[in-house]
Amino acid sequence: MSVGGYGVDVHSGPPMMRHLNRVESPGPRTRVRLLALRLLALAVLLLGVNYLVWRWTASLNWDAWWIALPLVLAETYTFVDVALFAVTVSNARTRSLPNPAPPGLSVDVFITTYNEPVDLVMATARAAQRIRYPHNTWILDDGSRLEMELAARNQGIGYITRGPEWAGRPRHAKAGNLNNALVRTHGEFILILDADQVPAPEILDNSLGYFNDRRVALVQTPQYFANVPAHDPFGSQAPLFYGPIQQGKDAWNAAYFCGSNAILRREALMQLGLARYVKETERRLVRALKAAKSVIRRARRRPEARNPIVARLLAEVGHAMVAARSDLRAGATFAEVTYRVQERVSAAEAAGAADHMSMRSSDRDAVASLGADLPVDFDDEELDTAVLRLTRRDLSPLAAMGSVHALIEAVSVEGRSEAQAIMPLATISVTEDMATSMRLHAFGWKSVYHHEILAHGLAPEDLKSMLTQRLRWAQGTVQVALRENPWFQQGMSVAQKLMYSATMWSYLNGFATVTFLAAPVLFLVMGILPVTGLSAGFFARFLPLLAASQLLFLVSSLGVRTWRGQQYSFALFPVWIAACSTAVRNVCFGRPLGFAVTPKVRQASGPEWGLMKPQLWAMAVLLAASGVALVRLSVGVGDIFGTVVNLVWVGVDLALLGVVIPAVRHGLRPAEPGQTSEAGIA
Amino acid sequence: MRRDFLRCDIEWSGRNAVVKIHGTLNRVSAQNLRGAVRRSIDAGAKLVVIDFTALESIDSSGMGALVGALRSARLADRDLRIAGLNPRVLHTFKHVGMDRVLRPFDDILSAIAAR
Repeated sequence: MSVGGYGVDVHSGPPMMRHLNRVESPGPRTRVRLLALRLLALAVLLLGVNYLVWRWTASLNWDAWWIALPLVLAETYTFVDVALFAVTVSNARTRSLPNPAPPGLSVDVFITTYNEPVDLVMATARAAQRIRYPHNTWILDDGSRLEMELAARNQGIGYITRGPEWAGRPRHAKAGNLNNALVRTHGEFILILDADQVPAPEILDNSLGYFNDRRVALVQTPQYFANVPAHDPFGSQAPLFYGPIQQGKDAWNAAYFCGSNAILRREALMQLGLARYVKETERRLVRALKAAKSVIRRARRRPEARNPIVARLLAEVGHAMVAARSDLRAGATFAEVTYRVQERVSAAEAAGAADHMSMRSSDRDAVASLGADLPVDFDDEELDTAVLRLTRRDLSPLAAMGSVHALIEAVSVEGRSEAQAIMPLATISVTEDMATSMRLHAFGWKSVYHHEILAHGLAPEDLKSMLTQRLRWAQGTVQVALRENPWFQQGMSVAQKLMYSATMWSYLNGFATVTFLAAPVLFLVMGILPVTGLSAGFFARFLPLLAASQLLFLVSSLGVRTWRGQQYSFALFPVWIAACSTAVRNVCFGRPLGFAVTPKVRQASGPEWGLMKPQLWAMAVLLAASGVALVRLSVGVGDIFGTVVNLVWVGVDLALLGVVIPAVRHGLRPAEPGQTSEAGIA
Repeated sequence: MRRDFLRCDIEWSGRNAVVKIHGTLNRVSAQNLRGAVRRSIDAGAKLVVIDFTALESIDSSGMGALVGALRSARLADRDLRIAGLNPRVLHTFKHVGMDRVLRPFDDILSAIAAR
């Protein structure tokens, strides 16, 4: 049975955040509340361990292991989720007001856009111009639209678009857009805004003071959506996340970057970019030099290698690689190692080309027909660079030997496959924000969560856009969990690792939800109980845990409405499962994430029930199972007490899933003019 | 000396350009370095040596510009080396692992002579 199933970390409930328009100062009431939270957190941890130990050791119905085991695993998962939540909120800090912003700092305000309407971007940009603290405003237009450029210039707003160096190279979406702008500006601090996030004039005055601490790299402020009705049909607001959760993470110095409404220190970002460059270059060199021997060996087996010129060249490349490997081991720098290899290969090629010119024409043809080579252990990007670079070497016989060529390419410091050598914002995930802040923390930088709404954005207005957005967040988080799992990163404290894990963990809850839906159905229809009995022992252990965890949740979210968030974290189980499976395929097998392009304009001409098919089916099955159970009882089959317990469980499932009905019906509401469906997704 | 100031003097010894940088190499002044390296390469320098002896401090943007300069030199089939870093600059350099990328030579002559 579920111990509460919050999955609360990133997807939380409706509005009512206006009260936080001023930063509260910590008073005696918050101290009492914090004490209560800590006691409740302790109770939840103890009661949870007590319950789970009993569940694993004394309650499993092995006759129905195929449901008993998934259920106990799902319960364990949920307990870990709740425990991480408890650790987070039990330390939630209310920061006192920061120092006033010192005068004379230089700040760039970046507004990122891809295809949002020009009017919408300009509304944000004009508001950004009105920010009181002196700054430069820039529109970062990844769509390179002429109308956008004209509108920006007319207002005296800077306009930045990708340079020619990005042509034919990976663009890295929003991270790439920001990285491109970083090399074209030089402000000490950067305020990042999504196209729809209209900033308040005081946004910099109220946040720059934190940077008096030279180790602070990031100040994140809440994301609040102005176009969301009070009942928040799509669960767009996240008052629990932009509240107790970020405040809790903040206390462990783990408040993280959420992509918009945040101020970053350029020095910290550039440092990340440099450290990354060093690491990636080393990795590429070591890999290439390791592979060199087998690449050369395979190339020498090819018939073309019988040509003495080619054979000589291959031998020389092989020697150069062996020498480079030992140089690198002996502590030579990347610049030296690569320079020597390139020089040696160039010299050999020059000699080869001279011989080549003196050859008979038939021999020349033989050399020219060196077909495509065997594939090697480089990724596509590295092989692409071989295609990119055929200027100096295209006369060389090596030019035709793809793998040898790619090998020589890889032994370089240029990183030709990327548009920029230095990529300050992480490009390993579609959610560059979380990955970047984790690297900042690993590097010893501090972050701040500033609990005051300083920008008003627009949330997606149709169901499909909302689902696409959630899928993207989830995919990005799982990508980071797989590519740069916090537990394998050096430099972070255990608490910081726990805080990042809490967010990642919460995105796995789709699998638990399926179990929590299936278990009561199995009992009601077939009488299969995954536990050995609904004994007094079960309730004595389970009910106190349930009460303590609900109470913890209640106290931690005092003053904010979180029911909608709980509903969505449960009801969007198909999205979470899809996110996990696509992200795993992407990271492990290099397949594209393949999320649908978010539609520009509100799509719905009628209610889109099809988008919520799995949830609607689940509800139908739950209702049908309840009917079957009642029939079973009326004919004297089935246990009354067990049926009642499971019907209550079904009731909870239905109340959580029920959110999909108003969500789909919301699609019928006519769109308000001037609002777009895609806002807030960038 | 002003905070964001960087002066770049280019001297030639044969086909090698020595770019002597004075002041601070940081987020604002980094473009001066990029410009000086580009000019040296365009003028046909086979090797560009950056003389750090008159450089007081460097930040991450400055080191980023250095990587950018190395990259553009290599893309043009030239080389770039650095020499004469003061202890403070060297410390900043090592902190992010830049000493794995570029060898900080003691002086210009050994930078030019190295293979």
